[in-house]
Amino acid sequence: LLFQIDLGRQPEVSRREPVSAEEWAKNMDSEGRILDVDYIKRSIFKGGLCHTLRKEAWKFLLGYFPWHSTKEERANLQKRKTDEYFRMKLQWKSVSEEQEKRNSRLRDYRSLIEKDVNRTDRTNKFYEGEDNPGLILLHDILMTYCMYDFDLGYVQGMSDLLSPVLYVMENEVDAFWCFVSYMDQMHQNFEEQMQGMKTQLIQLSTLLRLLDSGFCSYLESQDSGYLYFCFRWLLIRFKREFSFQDILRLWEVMWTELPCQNFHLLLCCAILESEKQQIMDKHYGFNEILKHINELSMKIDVEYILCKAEAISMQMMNCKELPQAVSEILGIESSSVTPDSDPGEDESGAVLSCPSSLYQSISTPVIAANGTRDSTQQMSEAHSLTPA
Amino acid sequence: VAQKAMPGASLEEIHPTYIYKVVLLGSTSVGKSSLAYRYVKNDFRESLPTVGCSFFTQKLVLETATVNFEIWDTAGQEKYQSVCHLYYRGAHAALLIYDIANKETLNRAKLWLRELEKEFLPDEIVIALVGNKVDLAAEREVTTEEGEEFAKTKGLLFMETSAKSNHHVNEIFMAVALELLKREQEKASTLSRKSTVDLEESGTRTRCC
Repeated sequence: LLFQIDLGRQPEVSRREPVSAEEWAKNMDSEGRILDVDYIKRSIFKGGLCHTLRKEAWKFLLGYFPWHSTKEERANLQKRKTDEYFRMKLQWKSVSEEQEKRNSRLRDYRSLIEKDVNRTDRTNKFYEGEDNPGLILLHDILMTYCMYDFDLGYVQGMSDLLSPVLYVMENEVDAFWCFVSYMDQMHQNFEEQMQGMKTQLIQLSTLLRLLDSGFCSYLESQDSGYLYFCFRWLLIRFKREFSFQDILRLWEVMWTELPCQNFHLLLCCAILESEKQQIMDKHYGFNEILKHINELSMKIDVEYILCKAEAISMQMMNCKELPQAVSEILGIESSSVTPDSDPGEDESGAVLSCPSSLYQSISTPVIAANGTRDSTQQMSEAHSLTPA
Repeated sequence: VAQKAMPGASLEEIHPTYIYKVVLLGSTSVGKSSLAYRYVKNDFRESLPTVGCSFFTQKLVLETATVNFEIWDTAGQEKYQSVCHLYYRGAHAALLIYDIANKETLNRAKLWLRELEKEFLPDEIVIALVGNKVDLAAEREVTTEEGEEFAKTKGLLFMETSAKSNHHVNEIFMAVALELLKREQEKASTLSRKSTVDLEESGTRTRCC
């Protein structure tokens, strides 16, 4: 498209306080079924979870527990999955030294895992110091994942994805299966030839072009149009860009799969939009852009960027002439594709293809969208471990 | 050494400034990021495995010229090699780093050399072979002679270092800088002092951090 599409102004967005244990419990029937899944997802999208709730709620968000299951069904599932886990764990545990000598792939996986476990989040209480049981769990889960998916095995970056999940689960088996679910989403990033990464970078540039074609042209003029400087953001879902506590928040919001597909790409757009001024004013070139983006690590305000990304999503969903490519990336049906279907209905140009009630306002208290930190968040650092 | 910058000592004609791109290549966990970190921040820390690429700058003010190093630190795992490829494009120098306590990493450095030889002509790039982690002397698997010998046959600079104990870290970058400047001079004299050295203006640049 050669003409500039008017996206309109960015709407004001506010966030709410994290979902509390009470709120969660209230939304469950006597057999432990979640009553209103959409409501819960929406609430998590808008405010995240209080820390005590994460251990349970993440299992649903990641898809380890089916949303409509009963407590009993989940207990049975866990039992089955525990057996399955230990069966796979035993497989690598029982490989003798002699056998391993003849299995170079297993040897390579093991050696990489050992190296990376020793340098993953070591300043976090859960992984710090020598002989921390957290390190053994991290190692064993990654090794068992190699048996679960031997073709992929272990690729650097995967320990970053597991570490927060294990920290929250505090349990080897649960952490493993949640990690498996997370890897289902992230698998392509780590495959040979990095096809998943390439696809995402192209999608990101499609979105960015719609949002700000001027900035895109600038980046192209600096030989940076491929957006390689976003590589790390995408590869491990911002894990290195935010503090550990902020990552827990960011990930649970992303896992709701709201308000549209590929919300993480809109997060990229939000960050880039915030940095655009400086990059263009100072006329940064290829190297300086990469350096600047790398150095944003730990300096981005998570609540601010979530608001901004949500605002962008609303802008796009309200856009009447959303390009087909963008609609496909975000998984929204553009009404411009089906013109004049129901005249005079509502003003929004695009509708979500998933449940349509996602954007209903939520009648719970709201905190300002001015980037203030969530002070209610529980940060329990001391954990007791349950190594299996 | 000469890293102690002397501010204001840059009359471009007599004291040119050069920007050099240096890439750090080598197996995972040989200490690429640690060497860069030691050199630029003079500190040592356990760093997370590099995914994608990190970027550092360091200014080196020498008597005859100022060198601005742009240091590109890459991911070590082979799977990321296709990505690293993007980063060593246009490099002026490469450090091929191995771990003296892990023989396999020297083999991998040799493979990296072959990659570079495909990409660059010999006089296009300065390559240094770097045996890191000499602090692990007790676990040494590669002798100094072995590294030295290989470097000699291939015409590479060579040094053994330790990012942890800060051994020869400044020295290897200095050696690379001197070699680059030497080549710059040779180039200038063969062009009969036509003075085509890129004096990319960088006077406003300040030292990293």
